[in-house]
Parts: sequence; C-alpha cells; structure tokens
Amino acid sequence: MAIIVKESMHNEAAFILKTIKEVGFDAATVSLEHGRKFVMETQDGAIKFLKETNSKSADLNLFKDGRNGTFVTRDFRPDKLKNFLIKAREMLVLTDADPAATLPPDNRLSPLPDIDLDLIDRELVNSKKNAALEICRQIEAGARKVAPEAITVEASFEDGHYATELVNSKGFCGFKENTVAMVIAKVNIKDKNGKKQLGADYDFVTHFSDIRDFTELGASAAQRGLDMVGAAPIATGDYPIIVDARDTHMLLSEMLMRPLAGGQIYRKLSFLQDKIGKKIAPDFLTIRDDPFIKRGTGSEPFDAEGMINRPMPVIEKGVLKNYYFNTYWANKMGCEPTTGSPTNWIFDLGSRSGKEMAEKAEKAIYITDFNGGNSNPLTGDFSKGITGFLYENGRLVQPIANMNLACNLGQMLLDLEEVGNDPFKCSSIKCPSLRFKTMKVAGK
Amino acid sequence: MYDMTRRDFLKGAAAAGSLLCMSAVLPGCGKAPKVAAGPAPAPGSWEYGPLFGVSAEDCQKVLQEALKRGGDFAEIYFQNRASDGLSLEEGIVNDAWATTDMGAGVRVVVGDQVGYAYTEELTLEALLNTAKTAALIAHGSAVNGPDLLKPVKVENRFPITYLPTEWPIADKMAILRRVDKAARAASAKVEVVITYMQSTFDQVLIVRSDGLVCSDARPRVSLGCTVSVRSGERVERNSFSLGGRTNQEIFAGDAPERVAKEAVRRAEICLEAITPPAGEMPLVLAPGESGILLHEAIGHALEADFNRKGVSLFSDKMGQKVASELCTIVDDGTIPHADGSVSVDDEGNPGHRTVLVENGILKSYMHDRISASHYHVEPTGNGKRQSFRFQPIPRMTNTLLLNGPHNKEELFAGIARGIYAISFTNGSANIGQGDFVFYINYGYLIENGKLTSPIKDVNLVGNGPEILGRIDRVANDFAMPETASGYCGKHSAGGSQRVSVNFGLPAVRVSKITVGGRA
Repeated sequence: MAIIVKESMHNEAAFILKTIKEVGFDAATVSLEHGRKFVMETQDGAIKFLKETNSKSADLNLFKDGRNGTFVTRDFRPDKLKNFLIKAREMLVLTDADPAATLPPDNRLSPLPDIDLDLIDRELVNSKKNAALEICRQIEAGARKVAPEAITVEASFEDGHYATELVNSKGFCGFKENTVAMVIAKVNIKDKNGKKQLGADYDFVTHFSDIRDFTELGASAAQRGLDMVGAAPIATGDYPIIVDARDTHMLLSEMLMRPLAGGQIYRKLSFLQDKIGKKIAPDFLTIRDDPFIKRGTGSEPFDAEGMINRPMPVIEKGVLKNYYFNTYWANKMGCEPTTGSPTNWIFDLGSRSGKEMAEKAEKAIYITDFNGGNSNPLTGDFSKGITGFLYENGRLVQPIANMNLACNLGQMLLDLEEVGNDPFKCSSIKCPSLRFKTMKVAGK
Repeated sequence: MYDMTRRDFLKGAAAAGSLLCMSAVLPGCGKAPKVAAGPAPAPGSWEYGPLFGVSAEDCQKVLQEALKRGGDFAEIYFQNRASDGLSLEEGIVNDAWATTDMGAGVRVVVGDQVGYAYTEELTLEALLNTAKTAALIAHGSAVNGPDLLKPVKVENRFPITYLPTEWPIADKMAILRRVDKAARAASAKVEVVITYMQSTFDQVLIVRSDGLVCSDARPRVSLGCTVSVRSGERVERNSFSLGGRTNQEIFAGDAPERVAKEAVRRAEICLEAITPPAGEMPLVLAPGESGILLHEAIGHALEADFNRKGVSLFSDKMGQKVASELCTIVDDGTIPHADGSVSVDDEGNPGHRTVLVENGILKSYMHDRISASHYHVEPTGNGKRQSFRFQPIPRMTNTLLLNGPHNKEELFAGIARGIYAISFTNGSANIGQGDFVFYINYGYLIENGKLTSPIKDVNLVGNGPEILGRIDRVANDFAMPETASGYCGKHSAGGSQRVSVNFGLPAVRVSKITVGGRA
C-alpha cells in the first residue's frame, strides 16, 4: 500500500502549478488529495466484504482572462497533464469573464495557525486491518448477547488516512492530514408478529483509542432495534418535540447550514436573508464555528480555497452573527469572506440530556431518527418522516414510526425551548438534544 | 456541505431538480454540430482495450492473480469517464468544470463473500497488485483463470452520433443563453435564473474469469433551469430539466425554451400554494414523476441482496400477494436512452425486462450475480455500481407500473378531501419495516373531486405493502417523467453508491396515506 508522503505531495503539487502557469493560466489553486482506505464487513461471524484502496486526485481552480473554472484530474504524467490543461484552457476562454472570481485576499492566506490539531493517529496511518475481524466479532457478540434471536447481525470496521496539499499562484502552501476509524453495527430483528426491525449504531473518530467499546456498540445497536419493536403511528396532532442529540445535526443542516450558505444569501434564496444582527432564536442558543478543536472531525487549518480558518460566532445569544461566504460570494456581496463551509459547531450546553427531558415531560414525542423528507431553504418549509417514542407524564408510552414532522424552520428556531447537555460526538456538528414547543405531527 | 461552492450548488440542483427524461433522440436537430471528433465508438468488443492500455493477455494474467487463493469468480471492470458542465447566472456563463477519471476495479467472489480493490494506475504491475489485494477474501487453492477470452457483442441502447462531452462549447453556451432568455421572458415575476448543462461519457470494459469480455459506451446529458419568482413579499423557487442517456440532440427545437417555461410555471404555481394538510387522506398520483412511489414503496425492498440476507420485508413473500391486484410492476432496463437502462449492467449481463409483481403477486427480485446464484436463477441485469471504485450490487433500472383499467376521471370521483401529487424531489425507504417517505415538490388539494389550491413542500409517509394494497384505481395513461433523471443512493458494503435510475406509472389512486403537512 502506498504511504502518504508530505514531501512528494508537495513536489507533485508544485509541478502541477508550474505546468498550469506554462500552459498560460493567470492564476490557480491546486488541491492535491491522497488517501487510503480499508473496509471489512462481517455478517454472522463471517467476512462478507473486504476492500482496500488508494486514491489521489487534483482539484484545479483555474483563472484565465477573468474567467474561472474547476477541473479535476488524476493523471499527472507530464504529457497527459499538459493536454488536460490545454483542453481546460480552450473551454475556459470561451466562457464569460466574471470579476467576482478571484483567489482569496492576501490577508486570508497567512499566517498558518501554529496549532497541533491532533488529527493523526499513527496506529491508523498503518491501518488496523489485522485487528478488523476481531473488532467485528466483538461487535457481533455484543449484539447477539442482547438479541440472540436476531435474523442477522452485521458489523463493519473501516479506517483511512487522508491528506491534502494545497498550493496557489499567490505563494500559499498548506498541508493537512487526518486519520479516521469507523465502526458500525446493524441488527435485524423480527418481532412476534413477523415485522422486521433494524437497530443500528456507529462510532466515528480520528484516533483508535477514542473509539467506543465494541461489545457495548453491538449491544446498543441491538437494544435500539428491540426498543422499536411494535412501533406504530399515533394520532395526528400537535405535540411538544424533543430531538435526540444523534439526530440534531441532520435537523441543523436543514435549519441553518443550507440557509446560511453564501450562494443562497447572495441569490436571496434563504429564509435567513437579511438576518445578521437580528434575533432568530432564544437567548440560550449560542453556536460557534471552531476549526481548531483537537481531534475534531471538522477541524482543519485552512478551507477548500486555502483561506486560513478562524473561530467564528454563528449564533450568539440567539442573534445571527455570520454567513458562510467564500471568496466568490464575498466578492459578489462586496464584503469580506468568512469561510466556505462549516468546520466544527460548538454549542453552549444546557443541564439535561434528551432522555432526561423526555422523562420530565408531561407529553412529548422524542425523535430518535429522521426518515427522508426535505426542506425549502427559501421559505423554511420543512417536512420529514420520524421515528421515536411517545412520552406522557414522564413515562414511555410506546415507540412510534411512520409519522411525519412538519414546521417552518424559522418558526422552529424561535420555538426552541431547551438545549441539552449531551452533544453528539460523532459529528462535527456537536449539537446536543433540543426541545421545542408543539409542532404538527402527522400519523393516523 | 451545502452550496458552499458554485459547482456544488449546481450539482445539488441537478440532483434535486430532477426526475427525468426518457425519450429517444429527438428528430430534426436544428443544426449539425461543428465537431471534429468522429462518431462515437460502438460498444461491444475489444475496442476499448487500447484506451485502457491493456491486452487480452494482460487481463488473463490479472484474473489468474485474482484467483490465486481460490474463489468462484473474478472480474476486472475498467472505466474511463469524462464529464463537463457549464452554468449561466446573471446573464453570463460564469462557471465551467470538467473532470476525467480512469481506473479499474478487481472483484473476487467466494460464495457471497466479496474482495474488492481498485487502481487509478493502469499498468500491469498495478493491476496485478490490485488483484492480489482483492484475492485476500479467499483462503483456498489457486483456480485457473480463463484460457480464452470471448468478446461479446452488446446491444447498444444509447446510440449517438457525437459524444456529448465533445459537443462544441459555443453551441452549449448558446443553448444556455436561450434558456436564460426564455425564463426571463416567461414572467415579470422572475428574479433569479440559473441555467446549467452537464455532459458525461463513460467507456467501460468488463473482463470476467468465465471468459466473457464486453465493452459499453454510456452517454448522458442534462439541461436544467432553476428560477425564483416574487409576488409582493412572497418568493418561491423551482426547477425543471431535460436529459437522458444521449447527447445534445435532445435539446433540439424548442427544448431550451420549454425547460425555461416549465421551471417558471412550476415556481409560479408555488406562489399560490397553501399550507398543506396533515393526516390520513386519499392520494391521487399524476402519471410520470409519481413513479417514485414504486421506487420507494417496493423497489428497494425487491433488490435481491436485501432478500438473500433475509432483512427485506419481502424475503419470504415470493408468490404471495404484496400489492393490489391492479398492480403489475416491471423493472425494464431495455428502454432506449432511458436513464435507468443498461446495454449491459456493470457485471456484463445484458439489460432485461423483469416482471416483479404481476396482478399483485410477487414474481421476482432484481438480481446481481451473487443473488442470482443464491436463488439459482439467471441474473436480471441489475448489477450496477457508481464507478470502478465500487463493487456491483442489485439496483433498479427503470421501475414501472403498467396501465390499468380506469379513466383518470374515475380516480377523483368521490374524494371529499385529498391530495393530487404531481412533482417530487426525493424519497427514502426502510427495507426491513417497509416504511417509506417521498417529498412532494408541488401538487394540488382535491376537494369534492376537483383540484383546488396548489400545495408544495410536503412529505408523504407510508408502509410499502399497506400502500400498494390500498391502490384502488389505476388509469390507462402510463408515462415516464419528462424531467431529467435523478440519482438513487443506496448504502452498501464499503460506502453509499449513487447510480442513475428512472421510473414511470399511470395515474393511480391510493385510498389512504399519511400527508405530512401543517394545516
């Protein structure tokens, strides 16, 4: 297996940039990415799938006579690269000039932060593939202990090592790398009526030593399946809503990330248009974008354009503070760029977990999974399938499925009543459980 | 992340906008393309060997290496993909992109076990190393690779004259400008107009340990338009696109203007939309795009990998009633130029028309090689993969509900309050439970048998067998979506895979479904 070598990536990126200049482009960013990945999946004790891969690619953001385009190639042989670039130039010069398409401003290209983000686990650099079968068997054993009658138990282990060398024609040169490991447990259960139910759980880390106990993970997946046995829709109505921490990042991607994207703002296609400095949520909601969390799955020193990342408030005491403007959208808006995409989102925490909220609720639907659905970032209209539990007087009444939650996202933000203390660690969106006022839930 | 780059936005718009064009190449292309490139190569033989720089002997050596530790079967899947796109916004073509991607995946199969590896470097040494890695799944003695490779002629379902990726840029830009102009002229309410064209050409060579060799050429184009419209304080957006497995000839005649006008028409309907209702009520699905019902309610659960593992709710239902007797559902990979079609699938099996459900009775699953072997049936041409980086798995092609006996008027009769769903953006399904959802882009309220107010942005929720059992009217106006096809994502070993699919159906009535609105 090839090993990621910083020096050779640097040299290769520099060669690509040199060739780009020789072909006649005025400016360019080269993002060279190398990666390796290992995957093992087992079912009922046997290996069912094994995959090992290496990959590399170069994303080239090219500028010529005020025109801009993005080109991707994986063939860096000098003659092939040159031919690819000549074709790219021929395509680009036929398009129209756009003065907003520029490299990032100089003041955002240095200095690189002198922070160790601790994103590399030497164990994972070399891959834990020799331990993978035992890991999967431990996951399966944990699941079987809780659900011995499961139809099937599946486990998977995956690890990878990824690196990016980013250089541009303004002299920027940055390198970032990280390792990842992921484990998944899936348990298929049949209830006494013959209805099948899937229980699943997972973990995702940058360091192997941080991963959850494998037996416990398998047991958790099985328990999640068993807890949902007998799930059925309940009557359509207005219910107070609690969203479990592991699902809040899905909600937030619809509620905030899409509407805060620079393109949506410039095009006036966001319900959060013109809301900077305005109250969009209660005082207790504070979210900051922090790219420098040690071992954070969203941590990185610079963004996709090479702009140096920096911590940024998103919502402060309920007031919207920033949009996500890369260089292009910032130029369009006539403002300074922030960054192109979220890194880690960190929340001011409350005092209770989602489960504790449910166990104190007079009546609530505790959502543990979203199923499909969508939202309209322009209007905030939101409609998604849900599964979870109905609680009454602090007691679990029944699991629910085949139901739908609908709301307007702008109103939902204002209707937030509580932020939990249980941020979900597997996501870069480290959001805790959230409790809302009543919302329309459709069922029977 | 969402819409953080212009290119990402366009990709998202193309995927979400989406559902499909089927039709064969339109006649009467306005003008001949000024391309230097010759006709697209016909698939079917060793023609692509030189493209990938491999000989038959090389492939035999690689397959021999793949089977060095034993195994039932091995294959090499070579792929070369060229893609490009242009977009127009604020009156200028201000974004261009292009990618090239070439590589080969090697798969070794032992029973239902799969070893997989790929390489982006097509030297013999790299291919042998890739085969060695894939072979790690096996633990037996070496078996012989193929003594003789037998090229097989493929029936080309996507014949084209010129490659979509070599269509002149100036001509592509002219089409985009026509869409933009037509959208702005269509209504004074139009504010934002974003127009894009994407072109792809895939060349595939499959070499199997049973000796079969085939190559395939797969073009694809799409032309889309997203608009926002304003009326007072109210703003809405919508999209429309045309496309298919063909080239830009499909955009001949007034197609650019039609794309623009339809996007504007849909957005203007949404300006009048009321808050959709919540709760159980009758549903009438319009012909065409509503085929997403089949895709989510039964299609995924009939993909045979879920059934051979016993996790699908249909795994023990073969020969049993799984839908209303009005339902005959087929998966048809043979429709010319349709996005879901295959000349050969990604395992080298020809496209096929498979009856899945006949008069409500379950007749067949959709198979790849592994599941066909498990069930002792012939493969059904459903082994598809996202690219050479992935192993093939059972996927839908074009999933269709055939015409029924009713007139469309009969579908609305007697409905006091219900939903008429016309256009959709996305859906998903839980395979074991059979629960599914799909999201309405726009439709109408039915009141006393008549269409009244438009509705939009609402999810429909149901359980597959329950909903299919509640289909009590099927009209005789079968259609496939006119819009450009979307993609379907499916979780599989090694990661989620995205492939293009399509569907179609006549208007149908479901006596009761949960509508996820707010009113």
